[in-house]
Amino acid sequence: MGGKKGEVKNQIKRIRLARTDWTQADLAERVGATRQTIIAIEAGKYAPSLVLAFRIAQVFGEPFEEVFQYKP
Amino acid sequence: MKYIEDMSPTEAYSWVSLLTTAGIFWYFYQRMWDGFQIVQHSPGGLIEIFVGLIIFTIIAHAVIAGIFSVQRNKGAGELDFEPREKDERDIAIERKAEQYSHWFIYAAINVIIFHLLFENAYSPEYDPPFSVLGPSNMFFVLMGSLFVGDIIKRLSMILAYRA
Repeated sequence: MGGKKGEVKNQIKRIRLARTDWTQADLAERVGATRQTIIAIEAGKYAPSLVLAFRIAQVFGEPFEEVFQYKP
Repeated sequence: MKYIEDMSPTEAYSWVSLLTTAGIFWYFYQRMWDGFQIVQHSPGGLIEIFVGLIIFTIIAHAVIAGIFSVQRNKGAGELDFEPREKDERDIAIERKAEQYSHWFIYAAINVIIFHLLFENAYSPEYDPPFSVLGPSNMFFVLMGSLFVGDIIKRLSMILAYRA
């Protein structure tokens, strides 16, 4: 059991800046999180729960795998 | 100022709680320690200190929670995008910090039990630098452990927010 830990990468900042004019605070409000949590997720310092991750993909109108990628 | 503006409400709450707990702990320390040793209070005196600490702690935290609640409600109508409740990251950070606090208190209680048993069984051969025998000494180490545990929780939360 065990093995090395994988890593969840995300494209939130890229998508947010390229396809919307939302600030981090705008996105935070839309998904029901704090701005600091969005900052931490974008910086890769915090891996969101599945619910929050799906919510983020949903508000962008993008497929989940477009926003989040798993790197083993 | 940027540091303060960047704080989430829960991080700011952690800072204020930390300072409040440290303040109450300082008061407790002043009442129990005369600079060289623990002040030996009467049983009634210890109860007075204990009840005073509880009442003061409840009032202080109720006032802080009230102030933060008013702030949150004020911001809700002014395009302030902070949510009214903690989000999942706040909860995860708090849970982890509570774990650290729990581990500290668990370890401290075990150390206190160890000293209590050994002082009772092997005194005067077993002579630790800090005795836990006597109500004032025991009260000091138990309450002190709870205070330090709470301070560890608040510090862990602040560090996690800044990591």
